[in-house]
Amino acid sequence: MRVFSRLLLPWLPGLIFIVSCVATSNSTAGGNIQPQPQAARQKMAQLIIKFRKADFDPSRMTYVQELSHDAQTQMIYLRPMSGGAHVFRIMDISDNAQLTTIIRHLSKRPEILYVEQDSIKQHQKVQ
Amino acid sequence: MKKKWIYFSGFCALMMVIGWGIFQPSLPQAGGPGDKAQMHSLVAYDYTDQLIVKYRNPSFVRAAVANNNGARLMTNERVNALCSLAGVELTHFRFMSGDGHVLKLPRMMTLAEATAVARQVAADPGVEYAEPDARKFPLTLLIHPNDPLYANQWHYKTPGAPDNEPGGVNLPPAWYITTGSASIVVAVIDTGIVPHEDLAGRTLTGYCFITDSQVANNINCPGADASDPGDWCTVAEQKNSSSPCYDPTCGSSCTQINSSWHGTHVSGTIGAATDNSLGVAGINWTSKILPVRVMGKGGGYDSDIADGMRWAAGLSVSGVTDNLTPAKVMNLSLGGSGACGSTFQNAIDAIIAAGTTVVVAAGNSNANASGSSPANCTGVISVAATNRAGGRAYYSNYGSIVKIAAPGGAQYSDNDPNGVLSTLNKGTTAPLPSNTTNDIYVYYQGTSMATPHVTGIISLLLSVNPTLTPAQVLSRIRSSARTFPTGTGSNCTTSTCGAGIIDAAAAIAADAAIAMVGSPTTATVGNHLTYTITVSNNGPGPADAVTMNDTLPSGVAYVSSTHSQGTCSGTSTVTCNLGTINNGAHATVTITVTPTATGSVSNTASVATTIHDTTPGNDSVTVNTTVENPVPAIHSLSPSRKAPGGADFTLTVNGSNFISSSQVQWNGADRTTTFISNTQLTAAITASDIAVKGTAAVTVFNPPPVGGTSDASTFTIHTPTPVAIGGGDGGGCFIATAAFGSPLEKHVQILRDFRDSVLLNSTAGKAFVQFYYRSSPPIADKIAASEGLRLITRAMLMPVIGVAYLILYLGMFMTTLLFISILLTVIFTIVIWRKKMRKSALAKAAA
Repeated sequence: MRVFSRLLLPWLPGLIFIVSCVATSNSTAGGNIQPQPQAARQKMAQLIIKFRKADFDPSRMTYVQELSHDAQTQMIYLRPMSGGAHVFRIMDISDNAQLTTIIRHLSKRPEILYVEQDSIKQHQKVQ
Repeated sequence: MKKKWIYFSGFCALMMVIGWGIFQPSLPQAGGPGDKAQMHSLVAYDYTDQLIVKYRNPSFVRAAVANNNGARLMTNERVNALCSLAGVELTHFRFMSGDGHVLKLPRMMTLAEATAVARQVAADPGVEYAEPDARKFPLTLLIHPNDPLYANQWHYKTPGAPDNEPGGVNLPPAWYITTGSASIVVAVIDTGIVPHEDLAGRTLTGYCFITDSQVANNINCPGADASDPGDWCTVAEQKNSSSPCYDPTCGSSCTQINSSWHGTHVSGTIGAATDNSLGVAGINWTSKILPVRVMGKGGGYDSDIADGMRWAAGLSVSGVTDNLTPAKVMNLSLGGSGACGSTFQNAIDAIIAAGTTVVVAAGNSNANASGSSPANCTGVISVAATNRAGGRAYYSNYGSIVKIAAPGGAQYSDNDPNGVLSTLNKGTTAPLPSNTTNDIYVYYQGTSMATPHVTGIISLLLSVNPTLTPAQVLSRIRSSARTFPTGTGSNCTTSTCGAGIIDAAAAIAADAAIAMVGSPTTATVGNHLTYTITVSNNGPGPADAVTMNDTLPSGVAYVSSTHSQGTCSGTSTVTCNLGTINNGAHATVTITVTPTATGSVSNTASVATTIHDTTPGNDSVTVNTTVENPVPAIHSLSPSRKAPGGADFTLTVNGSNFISSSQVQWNGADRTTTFISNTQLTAAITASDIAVKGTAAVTVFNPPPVGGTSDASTFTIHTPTPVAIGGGDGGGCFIATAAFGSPLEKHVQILRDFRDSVLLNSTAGKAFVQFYYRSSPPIADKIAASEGLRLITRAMLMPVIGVAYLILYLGMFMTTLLFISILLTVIFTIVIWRKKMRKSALAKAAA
C-alpha cells in the first residue's frame, strides 16, 4: 500500500489532467458528428420570403450569404413554395425578439416584397 | 235579425283587431336581423294554419252530412262565436271524421301560437277540445340512416321534433333533399387519413405536403401519400429540444401524447360511409374526400399548409403534379396565434377566386378569434364551437370575425358522449391495421370538430347548387342559420359566435310557391282586370334571388304593376326580381290589365329561385277569366241641341264602358259610329234626323256577350230662343259659350254684362244682338265640336272681351280717352323716332 502510494500519488494530478483532457476531446468530437441542421429545434425558425420579381433566384449561395450577413445568423435556403414565395431556415435564434429583428432587417432589402415567420399551426382538437 | 248580425260582425272585427295586437309582438317579422333569425329557428313542420275543434254535441255535424247547406249556416254561426273568443279570424274549412271540424287560421302560425288560439277556442263551453292541426311529414322526409352509432351523433339531429337536440345541425330533413353529389370534392387539410372500414371508398388519393422529415414521420412525404403515420410524441421527444414535439413545459409528470388521428376524425364527420349498417354516419354520403396532409408531429408549417391548400383547390404548386379533382370546399381544423400573414391571405384569395370555399376553425383558446390564424384571414368562414345545448363551448374562441357556429361538443371526461363522435384508429402511436377491432369510434371536442360540420353542410349545399360562389355560400349559410338558444348557461350571441348555428335543411332548400287571384272573376272589355300574385316561401330555408314571370295572354293590354319588394319590369312579360323571401314570408305583385276582347283569358305566372326548391309543383299558377262586354253609359252629348232644318253634323257622345264595337243609336236606329276611346264615341247625324222640332233619344249599344244598351240621353231639336231685350236673363252668348265651354265662365259673363249694360242700351246695339242670335247658333255648334276652333275663337274673342271689360269698368268716356292717349303716345313716339332718323341721315350725308 505504501509502495502504491509512493508510486502513484505523484502521478495522480497528471492522470486526472489526462483523463479530463481525453473526456473533453471526446465531447468535442461528438459535437462535430452531429450535423448542423439537427441543432436544437427550439433555436430554429423558418421564414417565408417573397420577392418582387417572380424570376428572382434566391437559392444562389452568394445571395443566401448576403441574407445571412443581414440577418447576422446562418440562413439556409430550403425550397420554393406555391404562390412564388421561398422558404428559408434560420439555424440559431435566441428568442422571438431576435427573429423580429431579423425579419425587420430583411424586409428592408429592396428586392424583397415581404418576409414573415413560417410559423407552426396545430390541429384544434381540445386535448 | 239583420241588426243583430251587424252588431255581431262589428264585435267580431273588434276582437280580431285586439287579437292581432296581442299576437303581433310574438310573431316573427321580416326586417330586423334578430327577428329574421328567429324565423329560421323553426322548420316547416313547426307551423300550421289549421285547428281541429270538436264540439260536445256533434249532432249538427251529422246533420251536415245529410243537409250540407243547413249545417253550414249553423256552423258559420258557431265559428263566429269561436272567432270572438279566439280573437282571430277563423273560417270553417271542412268536417272531419270523428265529428270534428277543421278551422282555418288567418295565416301560418307557429305551433305555440296556434296552441294559444286553440286554448281560447276551448274556453267555449260547447267545445270538447281544440288543438292545432299540426303538420306531420312522412318519415321519408326525415332520413335516419341505419348506422348503429348514428343514435349517438346528437350533433347531426333535429333541434325540434323528433330529435329535440338543440345543438344539432338538422341533417335528417336535409338528407331527404340530398346526400351529396359525386361531382363535388371536399378537401381535408389535416394530418392525413388512416384506413377505416367506415371510410372505405370515401376518399381520394390525396397528397402529403410536409417537407420537414421529423414532422412528416413518413419517408414518402412530400409525395402522393396522404396516409397518417401517427403524430404521437414520446416523453423523450417532448423533452428533446431538437424534436418537433419539443415542449419546454414538459416536466416530471409529462406523459406520452398519443396519435390523434385528427384528419381521420374530421373526415368521418364530413363523409363517413353512411346508411351502411356500420359505425357512424357522415354528413355527406356521396361526395369524395380529398385528404391533404400538412400536419404531423408537433403540427405543420404555414408554408406546407399554404401549398396544400392551393393544390387542393386545383392551383399549381411547383414540383407537384396538378390536382385533377379540385375541391369546391376545404376544411382547415387547424390554427395558431398571430395575425393572418401574406402567405395565408394570398393563398386564400387565390383559392376563393378559383371558386373554392375555405372553412377554418376559430380556435380553442376561449379568446377572441381575431388572434387566431388563419381563422382571422379575410374571406374564410371561421367556425365557433357549440355544446350539446347550443351554448358556446367552454374552450371556443369567439368574436366578430366568427361567421357561424356548429357543434364541437364539450366534454368533461374521457369519451364523454357530449363530444362529437367520429372515426378513429385504435393505435396510440403508429396506426393499427384496419379491421373491426382497430377501427374505432371516439368522441372528440374542439373547434376542429365544429368546422367539418360546416364543411360537410356546404358540400351538401354545393351538391344541389354547384354554381354558388364562396361569397354566396357564406351568405346562404348565415342567412339560414338558426338562432342561438338561450338558457344554455353559456349563450352564444351574434357578436360572439356568428350568425347562428348552421342548419343543414334551411341552408340547402326552400319551397317557393305562387298563387294568383284575378279580380273581378268575370271581367269586361275596356275595364281593369287585376291579378294579385302572391309569391311565398314554405321553407325550410330562405328562398334567394326569387323571380316571378308572367307572360300576359293575348286579349289583354298591360296597364300597370305594383310590387311589395324588389323590382318589376316589362309590359308583355312582367318580370319581377323579388330578392330573398324568408321562410314563412311572402311578396305580392299586382298586375293590372285591360281586356281588349271578349272570351276567356288564361294567365299563367311562375316563380323561380336559385335555391333548391323542394316542391316544384307549386311554382306555377294559371287563372282563367271570362271577359264580357260592359254595359255602356252616356254622360253627355255635344252638341245636345240643334235648330231644326240644320245640316248633317257629328255628334260627340261622352260616357263610359265604350268598346270598339259600340254603336250609337238615334231613336233606336244605328248611326255610323267611330270609337275614339272607352269614354268617347262620335256618330254621324244626318240633316233628316233634325228636320223637325222635337227630341231624339240617343243611346249606345254594346253587343253580347252581356253588353247591352245604355240609358237614353235626350237630344233637343229646337228653335233658338229670341233674346229678351233688357238682358239680365242669362240668355246665351252662343259663340263665347261654345268657345269657353260654359255660360258661367267669367269671360262669357263679361260679354253678357257688356251686352246687357251697353249694347242693349242703344238701337244699333239691339239690332246687332238680334242679328247675332239669329246667325250665331250654327257657328257655335261648329266651334263646340272642335277643340281647335274653340281655341282659335277664344284667342279672337280676347281683345273684344278686353275692350268690353274696360268699357264696363271705366265707362265709355274713360275708355275712349285711354285709347286716344295710347294712340297719341304711339304717334308722338313715331314722329320723334322719324326726326331722329332723319337727323342722323343728314349728319351722315354731311360727313
